[in-house]
Amino acid sequence: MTNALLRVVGLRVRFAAGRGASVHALDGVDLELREGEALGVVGESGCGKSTLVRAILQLVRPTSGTVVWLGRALDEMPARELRSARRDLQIVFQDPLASLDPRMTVGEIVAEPLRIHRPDLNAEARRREVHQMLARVGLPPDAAARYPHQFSGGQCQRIGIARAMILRPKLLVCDEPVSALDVSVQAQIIELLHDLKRECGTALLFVSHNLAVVRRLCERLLVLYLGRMMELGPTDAIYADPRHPYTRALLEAIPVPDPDVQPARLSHVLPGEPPSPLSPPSGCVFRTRCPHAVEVCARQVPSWETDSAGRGIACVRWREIGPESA
Amino acid sequence: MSEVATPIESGLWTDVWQRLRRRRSVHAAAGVLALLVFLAWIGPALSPHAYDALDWERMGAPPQLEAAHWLGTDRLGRDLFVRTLHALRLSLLIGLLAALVSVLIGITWGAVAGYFGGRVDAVMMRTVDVLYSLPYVFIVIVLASLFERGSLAALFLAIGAVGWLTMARIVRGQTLALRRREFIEAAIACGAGSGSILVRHVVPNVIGPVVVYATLTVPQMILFESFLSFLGLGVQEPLASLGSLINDGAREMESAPWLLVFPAGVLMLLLVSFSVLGDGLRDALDPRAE
Ligand code: SF4
Repeated sequence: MTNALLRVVGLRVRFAAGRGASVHALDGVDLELREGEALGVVGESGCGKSTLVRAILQLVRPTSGTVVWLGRALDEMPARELRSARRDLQIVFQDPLASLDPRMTVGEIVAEPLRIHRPDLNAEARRREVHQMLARVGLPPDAAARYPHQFSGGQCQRIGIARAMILRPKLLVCDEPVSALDVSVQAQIIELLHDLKRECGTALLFVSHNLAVVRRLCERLLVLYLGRMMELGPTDAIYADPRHPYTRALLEAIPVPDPDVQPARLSHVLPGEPPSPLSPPSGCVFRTRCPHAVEVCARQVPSWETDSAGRGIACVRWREIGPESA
Repeated sequence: MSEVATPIESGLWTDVWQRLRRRRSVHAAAGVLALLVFLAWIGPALSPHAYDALDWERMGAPPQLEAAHWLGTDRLGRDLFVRTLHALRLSLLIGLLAALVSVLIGITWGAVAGYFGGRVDAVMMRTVDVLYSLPYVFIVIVLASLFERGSLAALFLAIGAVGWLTMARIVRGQTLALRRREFIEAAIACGAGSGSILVRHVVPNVIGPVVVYATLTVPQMILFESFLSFLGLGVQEPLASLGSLINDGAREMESAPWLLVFPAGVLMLLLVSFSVLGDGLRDALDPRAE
């Protein structure tokens, strides 16, 4: 397709794990994002969500596969071009305070992208932009002169969002942007992201273990497990009719207001722990916890099947299992 | 809103400054240092004598008000008061300059090695290890033989060249820890270049330990110069540093104890004040020390 903003092809990331062993943090991810579209990536912790984000942004070198940004492979770009491409590819991190330089004022932090990518602006124009942006994300006007440690987690995340959005990027990548925040604050930050996305037409790649949050923001959903793609499709369709046994388990774990309880609930719904990524199960990686696993699941890696409605799934038995038989 | 935090202070350095001001020992050390610097600056002008002038009538005279030899004279009849302050000036200068040189080289070297890591780091830090393993005195003797004997430039170079090694290690360690912090990743993701990340994010964040270590480096350098002077490799007559004065004084400890006592006293005051100041800074920079 030609109008793709971002195309990820066969992305694999392997980390050395000592004594010649290695871990596939990400094993064959293919996805596509159009302008202005929001894609949610969900899965338990350790499923490779953060690695996916970092590999897309070239903060981690992919072992194989490519990330194509506006028709050009990011991993083949010379350093200088990659740096200028980052203008349209911004990120909001999980830990709001840690992602802000403690020795810089909030004003300097938010102005940094401008300083790098808009050398045409003088100090005065920069200052004006920063103040507008701070007001837009709901920070008090005197925030610019203060330091990150004087703000709460939610406010720090607003600062991080202001820094990421000040250049009006084409894609905003969010790596669990609210999981470190209080529940009441989470909702405010989600609304802010929602509004900014609409105003600026920014595409979102939103990583989270919280399905409710993803549903609010994202039109499409990708479910990852142990670095492999399990299911991909329009959010509403997946909610209405989850096909993959893992997606079903995740959805059953949802209606808990406190997202921190989710992993615990999940282990009730699903027997057992996620297997160690050091020695993933043969065949389908989910089979050790799948209620529908049969002998063939251990032998054969499920192929990625897509249908005409843009849904994809990796499960050999999804047709047999049938709707909501779990 | 639940996420409103109250502003407490206006910045980290303001915090540091306030914690520093609360410490009595730091006050005292800063006071003593200020006094010593002041005396080194204008002291020699208070006395009618020049630091290399010989008083033929009073050789090896004890402290006295007569003829304004307040701290006495050495065996050549030179006024000890003027010589001590002159030496103090020289020692301070050597200490500060050498610390400055070591800070500049050490920060650059350590930050670059720590930030780029990998092979760059390995080569740079092996270089430091090799230089470390060479004996100080050897380096100094080589440098001294390259320059004119007793040249101050050679002395600065020698001391500074040795001093930056530890600084480079400290900065590298700090930088390595810093590299894993998310705000560095954030800067990379923003599109900042390595140079700008080093200057804008890495250096400001390692400056705390650097300031502390630099403060502790000054007395080390002064002591090192004294040691070199003691070996006869340092400042040459008629100039004097505190080290060379002490060296001379020690030889006449029995007949003219004042020649040892006064320069040694000044050196001690200097070293202790710097150390106390450095310790105070270290505590003030570490918010957990509260
Ligand atoms: S392939 Fe088998 S084990 Fe894997 S999800 Fe489908 S039924 Fe379960």
